Amino acid sequence: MSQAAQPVGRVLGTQDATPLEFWVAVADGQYLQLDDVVHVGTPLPDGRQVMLYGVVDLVRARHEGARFDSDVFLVEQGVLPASIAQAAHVRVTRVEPEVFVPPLPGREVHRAAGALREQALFFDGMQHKVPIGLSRDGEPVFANREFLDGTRGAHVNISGISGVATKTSYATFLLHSLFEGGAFGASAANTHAIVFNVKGEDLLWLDRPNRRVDADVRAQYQRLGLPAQPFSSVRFLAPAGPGGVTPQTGQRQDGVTSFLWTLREFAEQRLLRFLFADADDAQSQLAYVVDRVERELLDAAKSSPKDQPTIFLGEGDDRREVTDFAQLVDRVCHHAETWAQRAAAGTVQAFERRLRAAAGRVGHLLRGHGAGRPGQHRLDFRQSQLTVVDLHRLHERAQRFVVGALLERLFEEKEHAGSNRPLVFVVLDELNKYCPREGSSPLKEILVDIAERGRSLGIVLIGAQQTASEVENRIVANAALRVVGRLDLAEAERPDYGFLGAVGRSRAGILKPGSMIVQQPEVPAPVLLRFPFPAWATRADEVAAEARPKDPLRGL
Amino acid sequence: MARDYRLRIDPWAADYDGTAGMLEAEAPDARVELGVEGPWQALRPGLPKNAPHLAFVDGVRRIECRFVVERGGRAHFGLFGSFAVGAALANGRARVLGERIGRIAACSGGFAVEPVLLRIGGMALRYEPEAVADDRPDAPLRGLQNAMRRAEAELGPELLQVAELVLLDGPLSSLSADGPLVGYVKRLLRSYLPPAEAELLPRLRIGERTPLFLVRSAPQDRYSWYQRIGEGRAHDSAWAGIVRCETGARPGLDEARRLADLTAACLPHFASDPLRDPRAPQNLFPIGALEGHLRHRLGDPLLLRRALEASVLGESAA
Repeated sequence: MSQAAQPVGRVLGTQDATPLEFWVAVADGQYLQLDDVVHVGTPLPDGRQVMLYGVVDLVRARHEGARFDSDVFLVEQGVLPASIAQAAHVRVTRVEPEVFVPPLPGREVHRAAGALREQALFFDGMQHKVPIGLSRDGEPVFANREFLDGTRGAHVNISGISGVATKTSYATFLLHSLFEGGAFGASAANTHAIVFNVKGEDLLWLDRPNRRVDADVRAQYQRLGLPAQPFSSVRFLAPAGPGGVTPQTGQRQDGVTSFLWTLREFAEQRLLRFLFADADDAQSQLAYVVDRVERELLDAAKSSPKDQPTIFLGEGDDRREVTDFAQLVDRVCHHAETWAQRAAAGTVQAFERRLRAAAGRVGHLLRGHGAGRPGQHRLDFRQSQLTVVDLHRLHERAQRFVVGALLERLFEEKEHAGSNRPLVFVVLDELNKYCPREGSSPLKEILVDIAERGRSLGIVLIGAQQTASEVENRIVANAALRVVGRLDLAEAERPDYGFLGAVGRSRAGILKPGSMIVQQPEVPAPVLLRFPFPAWATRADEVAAEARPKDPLRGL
Repeated sequence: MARDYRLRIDPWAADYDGTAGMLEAEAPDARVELGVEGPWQALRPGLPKNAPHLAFVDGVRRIECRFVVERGGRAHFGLFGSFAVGAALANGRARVLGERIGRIAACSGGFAVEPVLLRIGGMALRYEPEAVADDRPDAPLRGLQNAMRRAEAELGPELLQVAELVLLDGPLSSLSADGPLVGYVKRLLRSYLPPAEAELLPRLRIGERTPLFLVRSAPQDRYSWYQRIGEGRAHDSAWAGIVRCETGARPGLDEARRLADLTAACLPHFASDPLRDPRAPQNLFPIGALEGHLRHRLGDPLLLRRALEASVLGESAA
């Protein structure tokens, strides 16, 4: 009998066997390891056979015939006869037909392979499978596309310790699988992603091949059915540097477009609130002032000449063009008290203080006449499949402003579109900064809106954070795919990770970079998987030599 | 007033094997011949070059249920009991093999009851009759013991295929065959030696033995010796750690000496400790573990008793 046909053990009788979990005594010459998928058939009195599928989540070995710890030395000396018994605990994932009886002790347990494995993990019912990684035995693990594109569910949430948990790498791998793996077929042209790069420069090389990809890695990609290639359609956007329109980037110098906002856009799109994007407690008065000022600016924009980057503020003799942001701040502070009459004086002063503080950090992104051609520096996600918005050199305030402003626009566009296509994935790290559990802010409201209504709008959030316990619960809870990389053990104990189970929690504490535990709606047990080394570069020195663009100034 | 005697602990646990040990009082009418192996002094054989493969044979028995046979105005006492025999083979690793389970319905008065059949789960069990000639109260128990001893004796020669030396629990019985079989007597209930020679015993050190002496008695003549396999505690009697071994005299003196040297040198390695075994050190590790293993193989006593009672109930209703 081939290895696959031989049973790997039998259902134990010394431990309770239930329809949801049971123990297997491992047969001589066989072994079971964590994450193995097994199946066992058990007969009903009427002759039918019920098949239970499950995943191994605990394996133990012990001496039978020994009572004391030191007996092990006697056994090894050949003085005390004892045998070694191995047992594995299985968590049931599927029962076919759905007659929930326990597997009878003594029934043969087999490793599930091929079609049976697909059944065990519910891959057989997925009409559109998206590979999301390789299981421990090298087989692909799939997610149901319908839970990623909003059809039956949406949103992905990834938790883990920075630096070890490879959250951003996994998020980009998911995008790669979705876009380059052909999961969307013909409608791939109508699917896009906006990736916010908030830390480091890992995401600025997505279109360049990685020279560290070797034959093993290529084999893994082949196993997954994915091309071992970088992304084919990427655009890079970076904030315009102060005093010009050239993008402010780090190592990546070519193929980057800058973005900024004109004062008119600032007023028309009511972006003022995003300068106050810190989450505060119940500063309702401040929100009132902001709201009033926004309205005034909007009115001013409406009554100013179109197609101009600037606006005119003021009534009658006082009416003047505002040509740059510093001026705007001054004028707004000047008028704030009258515009927000009902606010307390203290609130208005707080408003002015914070506006000036924000201006210092964000001001260079808001331009008057130095804005270049109109429309050139706007973010248009339709121009490429992936758009990377680089924020890592911006101050935190400015980062929040950019994220808020862009998402707000995206949201409004989608609301007016009336259909949930084109589908847009938004990748955002450090969610605990943008939508913390406590307090509220305009940015947080948008993100919660996306989490709650994104499905019908066609916006899917792929969010990541170090600690899910510090992120707004509605965002984490609405994610169809919950992913966990290496977790701090204290964090793993929190209720937000209840889906991992006790065993999953301990394992999350020792995951290596590149290993993740994924929970998806259709599969009742979390699955541990590995994803391959990125086929795209994550650093300047990883870019494959032939792909490096020639330096035009070389040799001069 | 000074005592004229000394009181010491007999390290055998208080309630262990109470009456059973008495069942096999060693040959009461044996004649002992000393001087068959030179002067009476401690002998210390060297360890063999290669550790020999040793097999330790033991058996356990258990009474499930006692019964009474009423027949023609007379009553015979009996019992349903199970026994298990097996061996622990020590050849670098220790493992249990050759387990045999037997179930008998022993009855006194020479009466053989019909075999009793039970069904437990998917298994069929059969209690075979074992008639014991006399009517003494301990007759049924002796019947069970005999059945066990027969099984042990059958096992001995089979083990010679995998072991160089087979150690049987207790004195050799009439059923013991020839070959390197050694009887191992843990409890020294009677003394074969006159007081002068008996003085040597407490002075033996671990790994030493007395010279051989010939025991002439039924069922067969045997060469016997004492050896020390371990030390007792300070408050144990002077004979704690001393065991007596015997082997058949038929294969000759030289063979007996070879076996005596082998056992004296190799057995101390297997002596148990008081932490693990109340019958330490005489109850060697492999034997203690073997007993536990065999007792486990007898099955759940409550299940068996219930099945037996149900069977008798079924008969009484018929």
